[in-house]
Amino acid sequence: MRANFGRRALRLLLVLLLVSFATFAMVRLLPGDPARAFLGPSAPESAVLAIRRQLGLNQALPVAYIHWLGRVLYGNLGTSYQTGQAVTQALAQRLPISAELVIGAELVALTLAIPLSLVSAYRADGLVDRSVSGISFATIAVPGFVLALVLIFIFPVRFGLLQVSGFTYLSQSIPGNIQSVTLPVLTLALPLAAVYTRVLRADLVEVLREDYIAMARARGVPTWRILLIHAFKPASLSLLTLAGLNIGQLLSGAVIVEQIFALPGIGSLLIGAILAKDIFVLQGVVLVITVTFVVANLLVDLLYSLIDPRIRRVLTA
Amino acid sequence: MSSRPEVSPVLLVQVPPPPPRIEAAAAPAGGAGPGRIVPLWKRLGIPFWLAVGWIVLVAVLAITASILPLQNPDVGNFSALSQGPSAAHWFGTDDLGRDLMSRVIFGSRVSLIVGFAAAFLGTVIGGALGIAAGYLRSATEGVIMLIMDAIISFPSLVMLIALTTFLGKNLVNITGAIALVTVPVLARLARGSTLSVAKRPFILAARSAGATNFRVMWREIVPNVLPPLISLGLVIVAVAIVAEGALSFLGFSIPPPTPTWGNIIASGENDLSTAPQIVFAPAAVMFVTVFAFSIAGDRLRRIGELQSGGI
Amino acid sequence: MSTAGAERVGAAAGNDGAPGDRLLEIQNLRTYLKTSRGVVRAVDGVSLELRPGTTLGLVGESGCGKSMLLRSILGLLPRRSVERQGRILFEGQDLLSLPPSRLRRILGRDIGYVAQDPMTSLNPVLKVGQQVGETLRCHYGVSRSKARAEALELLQSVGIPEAERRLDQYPHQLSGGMRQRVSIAAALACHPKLLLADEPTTALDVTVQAQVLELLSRLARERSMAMILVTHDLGVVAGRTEQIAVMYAGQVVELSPTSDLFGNIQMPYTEALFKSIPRLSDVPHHRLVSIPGRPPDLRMQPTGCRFASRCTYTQPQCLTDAPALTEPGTSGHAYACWFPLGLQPEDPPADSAAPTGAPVGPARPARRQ
Repeated sequence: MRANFGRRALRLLLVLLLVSFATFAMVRLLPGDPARAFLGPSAPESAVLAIRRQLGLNQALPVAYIHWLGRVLYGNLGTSYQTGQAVTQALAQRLPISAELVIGAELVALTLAIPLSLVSAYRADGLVDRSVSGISFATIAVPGFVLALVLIFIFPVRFGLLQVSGFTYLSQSIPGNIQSVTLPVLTLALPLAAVYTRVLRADLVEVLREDYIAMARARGVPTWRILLIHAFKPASLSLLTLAGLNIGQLLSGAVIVEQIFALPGIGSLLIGAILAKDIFVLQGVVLVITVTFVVANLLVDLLYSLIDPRIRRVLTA
Repeated sequence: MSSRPEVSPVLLVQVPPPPPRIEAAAAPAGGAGPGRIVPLWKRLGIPFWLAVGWIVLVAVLAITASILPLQNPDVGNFSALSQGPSAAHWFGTDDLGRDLMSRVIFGSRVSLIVGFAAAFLGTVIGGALGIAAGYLRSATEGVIMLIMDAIISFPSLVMLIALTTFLGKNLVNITGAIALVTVPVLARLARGSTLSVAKRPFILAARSAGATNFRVMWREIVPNVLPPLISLGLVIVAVAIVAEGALSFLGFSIPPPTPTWGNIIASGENDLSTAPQIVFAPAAVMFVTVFAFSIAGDRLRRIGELQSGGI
Repeated sequence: MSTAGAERVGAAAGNDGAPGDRLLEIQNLRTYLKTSRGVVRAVDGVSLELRPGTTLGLVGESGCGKSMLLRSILGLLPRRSVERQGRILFEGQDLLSLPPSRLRRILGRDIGYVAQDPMTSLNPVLKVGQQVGETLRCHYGVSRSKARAEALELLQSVGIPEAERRLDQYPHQLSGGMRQRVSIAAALACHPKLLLADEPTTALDVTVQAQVLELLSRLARERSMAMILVTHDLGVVAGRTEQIAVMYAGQVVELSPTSDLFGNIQMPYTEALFKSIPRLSDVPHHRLVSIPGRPPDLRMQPTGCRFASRCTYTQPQCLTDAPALTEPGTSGHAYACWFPLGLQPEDPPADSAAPTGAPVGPARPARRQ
């Protein structure tokens, strides 16, 4: 198992390097001079050069990249040339909000999806199953930004609920914070719940047809126990994969939601950085998202072997 | 290692992973005699044809928009600002008094062009890479799949925003950027199908008959990999439409005054309480269209799985 | 495994017991599966009785309805596509009309079930000890530690070495034979009065088969537990049962005390099954005897005897009238045949009876893992 895991980790590290290099190259190779754009056409050439030097634009691309990489290893992600703020500091300010959205969305999605799929799978093709399946399929087709607007329309606009002006941090007030994040979290969670429900239900239906489920029933094991213990565990592997892989994508998806709900997460930081070609800020955000994705991947692999003992054997073999 | 469900890298939309072989095994095993032969069009079912009908309708409207008796999408009527639906304006008007139906129909052009073109490009490139990886194996496979993994791990929205910002917000760039983001999903599918096809005896036969790699891939593998690729491609059209919509909504796609579904929705965001039709007219059309593509793709995939002898 | 010779003749001999001493009484059970291609009459009018502590061997080819019969008793068939008629009285209660919650209290506690394939009948993600102890926990609500202790004892009683260590292992870490022992332990946890064993050895290595059968017989004897032992091999039930029911095409075609059957086979199908048992006395390279043709399509409503198309002794009457299961004497030996073998020699030379058809024998080779 260790060898296999090591190979995967190595591969993901490689992916990480590729991604960060690609970000670097993208900013460098695509047209547009950030320094000139930032300072305006009338700024003196010396000031432009200073910013270019600060961004490493005077170095060859690989050299600049290696320099950046070297600093990253020491925990220095550089500073924003626009604000002069250290990237690590900017991330530390904004990441908690995005993380809250992502974790909240995952929790809400799983809370909705697990009971719904258990009920659906227990009476597969029954009325509940058909309605849940139809609704979830439709929910998946609602674009995230549309869903956000639908929720805003329903709650604050129509019923005057959850009206939000400005963001309340979790440290300031818990109810206030919940008020601030409810709609954004729901926006992220609903389509996610729909996907999870479809996946888990399909796997559950398959597992419920297994011999060992019939055996458990023949031993008089109550239905709830069959669903929750005998069927849920083996059926939860795909769900786990999705939930893990989604963390990275959700973080990136949170950008739109943060834009719509005016949340001070990494979204606005990111868009600002792209517009201004603020390379270190952009690199920092991309790095955080990719690392999250990669780590989530590895965690999923580990959890896999915890849930399914057969995989443990495969990995050790 | 294990078969993990595919997750579309684009924004919030996940490609619904194949619910494995439900229908086929549903009936208790009762003698596998030859079943009645139901024509393909019938097996696809009513939802599929409704979906196709909607897609055709939207496409025809988009193509013929300029010769249809529609009001000018760019010229406002200042005596009818932000009006709800009426006989004169079926979808209502926006804050500048422009006819929303006309704007939504003209706006569908960008969505459909980007949707189809990106999905087509993605399918061709992803399919080619996936087949090459799955058939040639060894180093080719390693390099291709590593790149695919990198693209998938790259936050897709960041890539889309960055590419369109730096390269310029025009149809070609937007299409290209979205296609790039969809390539890995399609490549993975193509690789998977290729791996299973390549084991079959006719491939071995072709190879031992001295066929070149290219010939085997083109003549033997492509026809077998194409059906699942096309059904996923349809779903990818939906994904691409959503992606374009999101970019457009955030202001990173074709800018106003050219109408797109995304920028119409964005223009109505602040008038949600007074003129919800500005948001919901394009949003509803967009939702139905995306839904239609998903249904069509999903249906085709299931039929394909049943036909290729899913147990 | 040789011929007749029931070891426990005494137990089966007295057939005149009072009606009250029946543990299980199946009355005219019909199990119909509704499929897209028609209704499959998997069990078609079966009546059987079982007294406490006795063992019934249920024999027949694959697809004759044996497993469906067991699954009908346990209610393990999908409710929507399966119709069950008749009565299944267990200690006087009709299992067919019992609400699911009441039925659940009987399953596992009073009736145990061992399935055919131990590879698929144990949950791969639950530990062995958990699965064995679960039966106890569900029925008696015993504590986790008590269940574990009992599970350990059970594993030991079914002959699993290093039982303590096995408790925390997963099914895939055990061999096929061990897994089947675990299944048996789980089925026996609550000391059921009846054990239904569905070809419990078919999926096992030949060398392990006899051990597992021996284990089942011993446990049944020790616990004075009744058992229905399903098999396709007459040889398996010969020495281990009090009664044998031979099933063909969803019906019981011969039912007899084991002591009476082997010397006195009446139904040609039973004879055919009997002849297909390989014997040590056969000359080397002797061709195994098989029954020509295939079991009939259970979707058709046949006229006449269902075995007629494959029977060596078919007469015109067999094709038009269906024989009923009748018991001409008082020995408890019943059969459904117009022209019973009765006076046939007990063991005719196999070659003369062996037709040259495709060898579709009932004796499937044991699956190896």
